[in-house]
Amino acid sequence: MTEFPIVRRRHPWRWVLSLLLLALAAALAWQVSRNEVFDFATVPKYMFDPRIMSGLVVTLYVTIGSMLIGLVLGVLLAVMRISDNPVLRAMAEAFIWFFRGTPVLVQLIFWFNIGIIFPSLAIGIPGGPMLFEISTNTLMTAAVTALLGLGLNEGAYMSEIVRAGIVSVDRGQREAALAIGLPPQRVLFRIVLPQALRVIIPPTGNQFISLLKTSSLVSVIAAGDLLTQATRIYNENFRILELLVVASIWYLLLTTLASIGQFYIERRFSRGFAIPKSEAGPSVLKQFFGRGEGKAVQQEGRPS
Amino acid sequence: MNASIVEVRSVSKSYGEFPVLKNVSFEVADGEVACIIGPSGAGKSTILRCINRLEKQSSGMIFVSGDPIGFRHEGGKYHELDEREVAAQRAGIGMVFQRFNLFQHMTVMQNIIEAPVTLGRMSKADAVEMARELLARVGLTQKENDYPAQLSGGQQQRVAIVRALAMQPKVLLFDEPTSALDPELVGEVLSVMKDLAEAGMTMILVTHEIGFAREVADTVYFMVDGEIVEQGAAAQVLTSPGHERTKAFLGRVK
Ligand SMILES: Nc1ncnc2c1ncn2[C@@H]1O[C@H](COP(=O)(O)OP(=O)(O)OP(=O)(O)O)[C@@H](O)[C@H]1O
Ligand SMILES: [Mg+2]
Repeated sequence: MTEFPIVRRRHPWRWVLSLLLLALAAALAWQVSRNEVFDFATVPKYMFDPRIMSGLVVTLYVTIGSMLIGLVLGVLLAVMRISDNPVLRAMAEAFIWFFRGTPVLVQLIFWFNIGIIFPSLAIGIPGGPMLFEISTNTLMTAAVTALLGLGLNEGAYMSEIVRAGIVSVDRGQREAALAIGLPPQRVLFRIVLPQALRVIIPPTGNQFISLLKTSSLVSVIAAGDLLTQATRIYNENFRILELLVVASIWYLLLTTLASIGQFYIERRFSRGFAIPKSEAGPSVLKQFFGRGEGKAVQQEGRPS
Repeated sequence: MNASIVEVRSVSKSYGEFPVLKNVSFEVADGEVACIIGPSGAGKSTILRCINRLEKQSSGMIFVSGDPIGFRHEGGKYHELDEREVAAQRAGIGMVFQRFNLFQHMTVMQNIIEAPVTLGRMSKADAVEMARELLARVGLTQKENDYPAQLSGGQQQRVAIVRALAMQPKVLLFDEPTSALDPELVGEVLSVMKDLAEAGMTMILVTHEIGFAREVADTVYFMVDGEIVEQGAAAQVLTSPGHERTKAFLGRVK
């Protein structure tokens, strides 16, 4: 047997760059710590303040809620856009055109003030009795407005993502499903969409992370989210930057958790497709100093 | 010959101005193996796809077991069916594609039982049992938990045949089932198809495997430019073709 002694490549520049960055970070930290205006003690003090906690809950609920609305709406709009019914297609396109074409901040303020033109919402038979009536201001609380405003907007963006996913699935999959007699709806939900998910999930994860942050816009209608609460507190104690740091730490934590979740969901939905197992783990640090050993491409496949 | 399972009557189709099928008619009897051959672009795939209504013909009518495909015959007129009703008709017509088209996100077993179970043809337990029997028949006993990407082309195509058989179709349509396979894998698929033919399955087969057609087919149709230019018993058309185009074509593919 012949031996082939191998000397792997070194990466000295990675070390140099890392040291430089560390030095920069240390210098910055030192500068900030010497600053007497910024009160460090305020940050941990408010980290778990009940108002911040309730803001966190609202942020989560608004984000997850409007993402769910966006997902359902996105699938619906995407299916409408690829249907052969021209009326449905036009409806979907008009919706997307409108909600993508106007700023979400404007939409939020608009929905919040919708009571001005429609003081009450009612369901009834025209000319006949009212079955149900509610004052718009009772229905459209800040939280409901936030969900609706962000959800409708998200739906417009998600529909593009879902459509790209559906289009990415090989046409043969749909044809084979139709050919064995599956009705169109089953073809969509059992065969096409599950495979489209592989393409849909990565950008959806990005949408979700973006939405976590965009949800702070609802503070303009005082919806009680993380930023609303931080604002309320600093309006009392004038510790503006400290409270913004508190809010930012929570946003960072949430987005980090979301990225980790995204990784595992992506892996789950690549079933049946060959993916390199060695890329497991959401961290890039793992690979950073690695000597780049050969990575075997394995197939992901197990009975479910 | 037995009663007709498939009747294609005066079917024409064009894409815009371009005619792809011109007044095509033929019948396939119960248990018959019909082979459609012809040069690329002749309309062979198109006629197969019209039979299970993946394509809609511009005129003419196709009957499977007497039912007009895609229509309901009522009061002397043919009323177009909705997608759900067409799906029910397709369930009785199996199709095997050139590129297998197994559902990539499902195991072999899931691929096979998906339609029979979701369409309420049988319980899941019965479907699994039937799938195992069929897999054994095509020599794939060990593969039920594999994903399509883990199988060779020949294995995938055998699974695709089993998936079609699981619906107990009245007729099986094959569109160049071995064209996407490496030469050494062609035999295993052809042998499964031969078994099916011998078991009395009605089959319509588009293929370039003239040797196989000669061995297995009862009738052969030679298509050019959307028309059937020659038809007859397999031995006769393939051995002593009457039409110049057929002669030229057979000379080239052999
Ligand atoms: N969707 C389509 N739009 C326009 N023309 C099409 C479409 N599908 C098929 N055609 C045309 O119809 C003709 C017949 O196509 P078909 O696929 O039936 O041929 P074929 O006999 O199966 O050929 P091959 O041996 O290459 O598979 C071809 O000229 C093709 O270009
Ligand atoms: Mg073809």
